[in-house]
Amino acid sequence: MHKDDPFDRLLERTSRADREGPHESCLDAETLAAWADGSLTAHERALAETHAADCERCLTVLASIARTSPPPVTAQRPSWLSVRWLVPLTTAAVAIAAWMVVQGPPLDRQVQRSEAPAVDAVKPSAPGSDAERDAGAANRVEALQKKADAPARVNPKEKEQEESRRADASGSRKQTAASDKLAAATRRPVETPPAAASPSASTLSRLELKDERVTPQTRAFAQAPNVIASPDPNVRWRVTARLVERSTDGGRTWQAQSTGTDIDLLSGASPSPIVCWIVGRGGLVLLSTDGATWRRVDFPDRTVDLAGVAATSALEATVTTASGRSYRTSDAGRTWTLQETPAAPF
Amino acid sequence: MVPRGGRELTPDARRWGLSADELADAVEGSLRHAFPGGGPTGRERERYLATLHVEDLALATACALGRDQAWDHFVLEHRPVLYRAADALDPSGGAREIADALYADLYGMRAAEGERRSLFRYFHGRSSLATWLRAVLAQRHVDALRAKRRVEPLPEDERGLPAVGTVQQDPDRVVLVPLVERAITTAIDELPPKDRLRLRSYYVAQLTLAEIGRITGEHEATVSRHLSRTRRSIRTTVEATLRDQGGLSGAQIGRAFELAVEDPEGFDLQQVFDRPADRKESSRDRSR
Repeated sequence: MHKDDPFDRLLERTSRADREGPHESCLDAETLAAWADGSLTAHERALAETHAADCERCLTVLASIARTSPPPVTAQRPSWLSVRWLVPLTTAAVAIAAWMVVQGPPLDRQVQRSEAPAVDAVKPSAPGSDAERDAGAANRVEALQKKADAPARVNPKEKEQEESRRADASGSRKQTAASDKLAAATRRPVETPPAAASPSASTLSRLELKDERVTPQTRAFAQAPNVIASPDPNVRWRVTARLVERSTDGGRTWQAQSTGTDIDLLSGASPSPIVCWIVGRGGLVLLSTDGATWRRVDFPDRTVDLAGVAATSALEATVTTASGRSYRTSDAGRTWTLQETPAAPF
Repeated sequence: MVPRGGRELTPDARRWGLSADELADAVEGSLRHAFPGGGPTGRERERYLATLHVEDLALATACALGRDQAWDHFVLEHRPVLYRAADALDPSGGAREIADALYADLYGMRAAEGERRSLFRYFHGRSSLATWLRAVLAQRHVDALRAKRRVEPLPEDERGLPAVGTVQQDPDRVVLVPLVERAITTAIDELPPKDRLRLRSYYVAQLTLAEIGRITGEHEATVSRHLSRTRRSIRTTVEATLRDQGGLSGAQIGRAFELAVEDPEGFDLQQVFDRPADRKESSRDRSR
């Protein structure tokens, strides 16, 4: 009778369809989205996987979300700026800058380009200004969120596990986490190519010049200052070697800012007119939440060069190391999580 | 639970005209939704708040409250996301209608007892707003397709009457095919959930290895290896079941597989036992 009687087959199919319909245990959109964004706890994820493994509806929805996921961030960049070019490009840019420093004018020529004196630039905003209030608000949100240091901090053991997991990813791990936040971040022109650095003697000793990659295009790129646009077209930052400058008139005039660091700065992102993230060599992460002053954010690995950063707020940013590894923070850099880059979550 | 009094406010929340108390209400609502059984422990709360998408929650809350600036921003930033997702779901444009209906629900066109109820009320900041929108859209699209499939008339040969008595009753088929199907079903049911999820994502949902990797958080090469291992495991289990419980010889097991593969109404063994990474018969190359 079973399977041979068409009526039974029809019954079987109908029953199956009914069983697969939406029911209370089906994953809601919020859970599915949190799964896609990697926000579920391990326990929640295990429960969700168990359900989706046997639920055609949820599996189909998951499949749809997977299929409609935006392309990875790296794919949205111009090809000559893709991550696989960042390392050689940065190296070449630094080398060219080094050569120019040795051959050319003194280092402080870059400071002289600023139209406003540095002493004015580092002056903090007037008390009660919007900038100060917003900076305070950003800090207070940190207090609101009350994040613990421990859970997401990357420890050496986790790093080791990550490394071994990445071993099978071999050459194709150029994708960075393609969360929607990053996609949103890339809609804004916040992620900029690494700037030409003006290396010190110690920096020069670490350089690996690859002459075959030094094209005229690379030379031009190396000499160009690294401009970081904010959502406000009038406000932008400029990073040249170790110098940070800010413009509030669309780039007509620039004010130098003190960062308190002598490490080469490579890239930056500005998700709002008063918030800017800048990354550099030696695990350097700088954050300004008032558009004027900078503080160094703790980063778990001070041996790596950070080649890129994408940020959506004063709290949330993803930095990319020169080797393509990504770390994400959602608490203004208090904790960092190594991203699952082999397969970007949706 | 969440400090109040106009002290905590994100820059964007201020931009949307959201007061600190309104944002605090939203965060508290999110916590209540996530921990319905009671207040979370301090550790749980910290972990939850650490992953909360506060800026998106602020935007959604402001939109739900009808703040114009927030709506302007949402329309500018997120409506294109919604339409792109709709076009990806159905390139013929069918999902755009669902996207428009969703947009109306987000705005709260459907009033409940005179009060505008926005779909944004169901966003609690556990994911980014863009991902949540894609999830809601995908869910509605899938439900619409499934509803349509249920009401569509069955093809003539599946209505039952003409087929009765016309099937060739091969004695081996009658015995062996159900045995194989039962053994396979049992073997699949006994798999760990994650293995079943990969298997069904590949064979049922027809996802590519890379797409499965996005779901499981694995590289596609890892997915391929797991699928191959699972397939071997199923085959071993099925052969053991047929041999030990069905009393079949090696030759009979081979014959049973052949019959099951040939059976037009039966389990698609070919799909289960083919090597995943080598399969190219589908319309797209799913190894990428």
